[in-house]
Amino acid sequence: MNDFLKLEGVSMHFPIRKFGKRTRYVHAMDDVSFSLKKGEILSLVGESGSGKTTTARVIAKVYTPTSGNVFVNGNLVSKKMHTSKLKEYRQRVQMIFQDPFSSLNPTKRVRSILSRPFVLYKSMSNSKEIRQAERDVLEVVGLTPTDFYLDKFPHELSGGQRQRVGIARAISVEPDLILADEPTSMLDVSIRLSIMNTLLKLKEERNISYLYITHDLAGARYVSDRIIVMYAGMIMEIGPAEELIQHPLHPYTQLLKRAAPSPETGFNKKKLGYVGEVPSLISPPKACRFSPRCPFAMEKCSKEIPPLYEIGDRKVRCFLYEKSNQENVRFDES
Amino acid sequence: MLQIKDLVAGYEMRKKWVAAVDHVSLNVKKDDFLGLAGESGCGKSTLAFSIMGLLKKPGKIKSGSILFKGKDLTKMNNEELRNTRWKDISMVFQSAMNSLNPVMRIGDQIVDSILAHKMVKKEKAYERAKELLKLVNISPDRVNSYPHQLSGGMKQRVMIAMALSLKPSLIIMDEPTTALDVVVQRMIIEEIGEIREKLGFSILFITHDLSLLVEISKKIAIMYAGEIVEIANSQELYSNPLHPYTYGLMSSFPTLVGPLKRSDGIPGRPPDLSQPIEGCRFYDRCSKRMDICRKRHPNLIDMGNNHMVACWLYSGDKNE
Repeated sequence: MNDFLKLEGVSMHFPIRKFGKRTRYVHAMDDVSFSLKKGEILSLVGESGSGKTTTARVIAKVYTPTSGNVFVNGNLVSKKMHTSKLKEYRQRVQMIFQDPFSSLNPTKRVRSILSRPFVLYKSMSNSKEIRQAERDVLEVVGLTPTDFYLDKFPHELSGGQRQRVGIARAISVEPDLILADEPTSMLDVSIRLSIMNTLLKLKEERNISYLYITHDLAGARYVSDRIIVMYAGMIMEIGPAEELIQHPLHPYTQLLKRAAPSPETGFNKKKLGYVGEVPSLISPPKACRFSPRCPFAMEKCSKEIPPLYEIGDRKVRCFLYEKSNQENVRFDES
Repeated sequence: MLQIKDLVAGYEMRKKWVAAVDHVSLNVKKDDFLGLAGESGCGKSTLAFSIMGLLKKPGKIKSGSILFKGKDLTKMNNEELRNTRWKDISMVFQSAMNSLNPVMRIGDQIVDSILAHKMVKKEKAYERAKELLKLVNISPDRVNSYPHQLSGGMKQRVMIAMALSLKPSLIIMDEPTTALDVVVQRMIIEEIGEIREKLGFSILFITHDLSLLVEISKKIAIMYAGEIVEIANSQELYSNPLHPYTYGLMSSFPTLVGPLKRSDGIPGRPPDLSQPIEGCRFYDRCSKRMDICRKRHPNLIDMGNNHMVACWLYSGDKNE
């Protein structure tokens, strides 16, 4: 297998301290397993509080998971690492952040922001060499003329341009995997696509893999090969992007699709009505986390957590797709 | 009901004048649902603030009038303005998270806004607050909750309840759902629609998300660099966008159905509004620009079917 990144049953529980004692836990991630191939873009879609960002942070080694293993290139990385190893790891796995307004140091010029990775990871010291390398990455992300942008402070740039500086910083160490945490959600609609196109171009040219985190189903469809839908810390559905969106299996994916604005599907859409809110993740019950909001909820759903059922090249965590049910399930698209 | 005529508003910097809203005319009729779309920095919020009379220094209304039920809002003094504000026109702001007072119970906050404008007993105001919460699908016993005990969607609902508290005839909503999740966004928008049908008021809905706007509003105005470049009924605008900018906006959100197209959005960025611009403001980014666009400023012309557009592509008098 050429899985570049692999998560096996990863859980992340954050303690809530009361009088210094750890009494309860927030289950931000529960039993998350998936893999990502080289040169693939995998989208992680879900509402806020679904554990998307926690997943990215576990992979980036910001958090050490409570249980489960993370493998990158076959090596276990979720354990403690020696500093030198960690540095090597950070070079292979980079992050792009949601907020381009706070992820760049406001007191430094673009030139100095971009020089850091070259000094730290590539041990460059020749300033001419660094300048040339900076020009090259800016060229790649489409900020030309490069010398013009090198002398700017972040506040002199627009949101889209700042996000491009963020991308340039991430690719300057030639990573294999980029964790993109909602890179377009704070940008204007008219420039979102061009940022997405830049990411796609980098994937094609440099074979970079992405974990693309978003809450926008249509955007996920645009960039990704496969999509994972997360809800309340658990994976609900995994599948090839186009198939998952055209024929969502899990009731939650169906809800997401119906809620997304899509004028193409007609103006007199069926109303959604009140569908409840995301449950609390503090010591959640042993049940399907979506069951309180699910229109198809059965008795079983509130008693145990459904496993991920495999259907072809897709996986779905819902009792509707249990073996015994699978034949008589006819999926109706509402 | 609301008539904005030739409004020029902007910000006065040391020596520069930034015309964020430049000669905008707009009408909101009774029971209208008008959407206003555009990128950040196009003047949407400045327009909303000028209507509410909330434009603070260095912001300034330079000329033009805003007639609400026949009275000019720009000429009112503070006292008159306070009587109109909230009672006749109320507003839902962009981020509910920051608009609610974190150390006050939400019930008290709603009651406060009622008592500030109306002479009623406190108990009555509380009753009204509970009623309002029920209207926006929050259980009435939440009146004693603090904002931090509510989710983002609920906070936004409280804001809407507050805006409804004095039964205004116009509500300005400035990106009320941008910070929310898709599912919550959809629920709140449906609720707004239902409440509007029930109570009957007009909405001026400001957002940058055109795909959402097309679905919910009756009429849409597209704003670019301080000007309105196109106005039409939403269905008409969606199926037949005329201005190249509207067209660009339409094709810059990826779709859920149909074939996947790679498109590039709109290249470039909006012009600097502190410099005087001759000709069309969209010139630098336009794919269909002509010679005349650089020299002369296009005015809004009626294309029939209530469709107005400001673009030289559609004017007959090109050679004039």
